[in-house]
Amino acid sequence: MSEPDEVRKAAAGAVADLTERNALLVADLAAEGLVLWDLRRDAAGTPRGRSRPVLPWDELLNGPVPPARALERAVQTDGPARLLLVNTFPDGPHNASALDALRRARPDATALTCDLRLGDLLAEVIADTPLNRWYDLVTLQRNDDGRLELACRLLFPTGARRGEKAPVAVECEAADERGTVFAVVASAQERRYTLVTRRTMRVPPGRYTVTAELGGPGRVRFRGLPAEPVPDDRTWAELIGAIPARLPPPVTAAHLVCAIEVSGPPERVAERLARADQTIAHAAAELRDRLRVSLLAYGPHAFERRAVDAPVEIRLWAGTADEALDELENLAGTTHPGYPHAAALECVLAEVAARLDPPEPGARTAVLAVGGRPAFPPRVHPSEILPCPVRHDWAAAVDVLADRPGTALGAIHDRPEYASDVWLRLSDGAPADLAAVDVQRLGASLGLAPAAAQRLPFPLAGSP
Amino acid sequence: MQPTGRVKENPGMEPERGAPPAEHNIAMWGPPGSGKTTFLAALTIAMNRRQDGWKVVGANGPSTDALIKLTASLATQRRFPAATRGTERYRWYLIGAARERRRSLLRRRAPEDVRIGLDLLDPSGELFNQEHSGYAGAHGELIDNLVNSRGIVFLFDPVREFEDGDAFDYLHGVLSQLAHRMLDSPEFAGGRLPHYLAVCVTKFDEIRVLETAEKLRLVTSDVADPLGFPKVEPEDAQELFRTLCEVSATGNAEMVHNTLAQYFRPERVRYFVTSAIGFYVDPLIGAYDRDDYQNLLPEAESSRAVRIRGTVHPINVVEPLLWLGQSLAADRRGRSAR
Repeated sequence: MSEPDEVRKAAAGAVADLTERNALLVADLAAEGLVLWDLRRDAAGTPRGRSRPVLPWDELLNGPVPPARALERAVQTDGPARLLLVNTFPDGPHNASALDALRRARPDATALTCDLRLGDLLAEVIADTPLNRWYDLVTLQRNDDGRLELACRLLFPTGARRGEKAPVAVECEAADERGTVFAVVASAQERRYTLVTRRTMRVPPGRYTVTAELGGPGRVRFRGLPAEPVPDDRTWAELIGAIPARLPPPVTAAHLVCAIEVSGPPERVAERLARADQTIAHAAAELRDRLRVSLLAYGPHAFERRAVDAPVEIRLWAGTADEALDELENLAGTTHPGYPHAAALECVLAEVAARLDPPEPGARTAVLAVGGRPAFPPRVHPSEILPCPVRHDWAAAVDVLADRPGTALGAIHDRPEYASDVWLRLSDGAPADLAAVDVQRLGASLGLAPAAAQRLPFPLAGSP
Repeated sequence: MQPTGRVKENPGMEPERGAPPAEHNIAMWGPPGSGKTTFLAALTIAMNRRQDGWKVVGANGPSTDALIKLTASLATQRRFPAATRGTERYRWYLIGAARERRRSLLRRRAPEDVRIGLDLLDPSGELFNQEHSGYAGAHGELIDNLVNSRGIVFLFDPVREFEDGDAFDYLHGVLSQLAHRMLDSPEFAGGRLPHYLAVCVTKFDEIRVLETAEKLRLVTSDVADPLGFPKVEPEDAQELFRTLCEVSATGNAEMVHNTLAQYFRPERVRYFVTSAIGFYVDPLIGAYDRDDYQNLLPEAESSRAVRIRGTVHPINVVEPLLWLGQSLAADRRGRSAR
């Protein structure tokens, strides 16, 4: 009878000698029969073990083939392989004789007897095996001209063992809906990389110091991220293909001006507020403290006698995203009565054009209108909508905004199929549908988030 | 109007006992919804703004009540009179400034007002479809009314014609019956009716009408008009009427023009471009603004109902009636002289 440590030592030695070509066959003489484990290293140098279906003693010993021959056949391998025999059920009626028969058939094998759970022991042995490759994190490198190249950050050298940790600084940019991939590759002397593991998570853009923790060969966990990354099922080719050629210059500051129509049925107004909320929240997630938000609520002009005509309310100017989201809550339940067939979008656009400061390099401005009614025309119009009392001309205001450097215009319309000219001008002819806004796409079109083609599957290498 | 037996059956049109007779009778006529009631509601306002001594007075209690109500609706509440339900019958007098009568050798006779009777028989739309075109009911009353008048105000609503295009249907039926009734009259000479006809193209304040007039280069402005309203001179009004007929929804309005020419003597027809409410006048500017002249406000998002935006400045509402009155007076003088 051997001690478990002797078994562990024998197994560890055999695993250490594994290569892609030289396998290890472990025969577990268990209570129910013979359990065989095939172990070999994969292309990344990671030992992998796989058990075969159990061969019952009755089938081996009482079958048509003589027992000794049947046992010998059971441990035959296709290629070169060491054999480790472990009798884990010494009190079994067949185990001792079977072990003897196998030793006679394979005198080169290591044979041990020890009452233990061999599968668990093998898993521990593999996890404790030192790396025989370098492990690197896949990152992207941005050149001065914006071109992107694949790069690596060393995580663990050869010989590293389970439990070792490696901090690494990365910079996450916007990724696609599946998130940023933390991929580990292995390389040997010849620096040919093989994928070891890839895990993904949706990481808000920003700088992170990630701690990679080695759980054994082929097992790396990442800590320091908002959540635990999960396995990613994309192929390496897919991931490489998703890397854009260039990364546009980073947005240093962004100003989202959101104008929301608060006229019409209350449920429609509530829906518009909800879409504005989503859009602001999404932009804030992408840009964090680089984002400033302005919020305007507007309704129709009042043409009644003695009525106060104040259709545009500036609820917030260049505030934080949180302030804007709070203000949206305050707007809930607000509706402006008045002229029923138009809203003062022309006054909103004129006000915004007048209020915006001169553009700064690298700063983005996005003007987003959320509503449904047409604007008031500057003069008598075939639509029969009354002219704006102050004669604001929406087309002129749109021209001013469209010509402003770094400024993008967008629109979310109640029913895009009925959108009037001003809404089409604001959205290049295609307003987003209030009922189904793709905020990611809208954010990209406003320059507040990278477009799908500009999303990075891997993190950028950050400064330590 | 000299009340006929049939008209006497309609208490709304019967003058009160003791009321002096009118010198001339004018009938209002136009398809249902063409704005007859609104036109008349604007009459008091129009006369008030003219300040030339003309006024409108109800010939009986119901007509006086209606006059007060219609005027208040337009001037104070800034709402259009409700659509007619059933048949409404009104009779008013237009009373002009007193004129001096001939002096006799023995005594000076008291001055006497000019008095024009104005009848409105306003049936609701349903009563005037094809099934009710027989000589009965409201339709029969209307024909009676027209037979007994010698002056007619015919309202043509170009906006309604553009959308519905039913003016010809209405006109043709009524004129055929009117001609039939007058066939034996010596006045029905040359196959034409003896009436004077004021064709009033309404809704000049609406964009489509004013823009059509502008495109035809028919719009002028009167420097003496403190409001600076655009206007179409009477001699150009027929051209505008003809052009507006060409854009009828059914294409039949062109026949309206031709039908009028068939039935009425050309020298007895005059065209007027009118508006019951006029153009919007901004109180701060106090004059017509070509960039902002619409005087209608929609009521609600889901409704086509409108109300009046600003003050009411009727255009050519009195003029057709005065022209008819003067024409009829001249006609009577001519006959007397003969």
